[in-house]
Amino acid sequence: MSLCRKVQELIPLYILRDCDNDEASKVREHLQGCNVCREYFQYVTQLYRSFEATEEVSVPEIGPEIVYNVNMRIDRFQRKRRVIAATIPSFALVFIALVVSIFLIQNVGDRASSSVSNMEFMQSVGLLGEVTDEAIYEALTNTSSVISDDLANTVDLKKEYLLYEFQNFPEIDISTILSIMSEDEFENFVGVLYASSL
Amino acid sequence: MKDKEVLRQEFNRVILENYKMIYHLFFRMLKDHDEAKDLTQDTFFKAYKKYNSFRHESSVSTWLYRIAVNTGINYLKRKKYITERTKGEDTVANAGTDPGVPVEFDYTALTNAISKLSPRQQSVVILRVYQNLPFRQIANIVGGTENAAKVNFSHAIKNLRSILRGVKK
Repeated sequence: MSLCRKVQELIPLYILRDCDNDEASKVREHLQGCNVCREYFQYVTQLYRSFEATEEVSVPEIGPEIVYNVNMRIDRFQRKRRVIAATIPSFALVFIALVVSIFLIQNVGDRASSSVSNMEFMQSVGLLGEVTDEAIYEALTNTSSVISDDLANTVDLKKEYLLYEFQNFPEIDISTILSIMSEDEFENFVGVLYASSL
Repeated sequence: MKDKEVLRQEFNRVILENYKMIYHLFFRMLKDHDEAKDLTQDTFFKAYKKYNSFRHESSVSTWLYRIAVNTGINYLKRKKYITERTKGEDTVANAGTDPGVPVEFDYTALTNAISKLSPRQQSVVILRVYQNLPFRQIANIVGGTENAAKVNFSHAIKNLRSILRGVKK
């Protein structure tokens, strides 16, 4: 930075006595021999005089008005915040309900698209309507051909159901039972049946 | 946390004690009573929202000045943006090669020239010249070091010269 530039940067501070002694003496020395900076010094001096001469801003007595208006805005702001705070739980509940519904709809849809129709599935596990003898027989005899991966877990359910119903349906054909379980399983099954009948 | 009512009463006292200096600052910046009043209210509203977390690390007035200067700078930027959109580029007379130095500057010329400075330089000039604040406090208000505030001020004074040459008497 050239000396003139540095001095011109210091001049506004020098006049306001906002620079240190070293800087002040640097400015004084430089001004004695530099017309350009002396001219700049005059400009800044005139500018400051003009600042001082500018009419004073008379601040109107608006204190109470400002207090009132600010308080009104604060009240409005706090009311709005309270309303938002009160609404958030409702929105959250609606959102949760929405998510749960979407989940349920999707789940039912998946089941419906499996190889067994929804109705057959419900009937086969006894969830839809009254379970008739025919329905149970139908479910048991159809199982081996229609069991898919999705329904693998229903076999256990059927076994349990069968265990319960076997006592009331002694006429169910053993081959039907064998169609959904291996011989080992069948032996276990008979063991359980026997134990439970004791 | 203070009781809401106590806090509100305390803050109302802060408003009454400081509104004049904030209004004064905005009036110097904007030269308009209504705008100065609105921005003064904005400043206190913003200050109230932060009042609970104010740690008193600086004085309340410095803290309020800081909020006011930021509010003012943002307002000026927005206003300048709108003006430029509606009226086109603001043409500031360039100094060119004119070496003349005006003998004196009238109030209107001076305030117009200040309004053409960058918002930060405007703030520094107003805080130093009209609010008579020391550079240390100005640095606290506008951010940065004391030296940076001084350099900012010197550059603003230099820029004012170029601007005033275009509007000299």
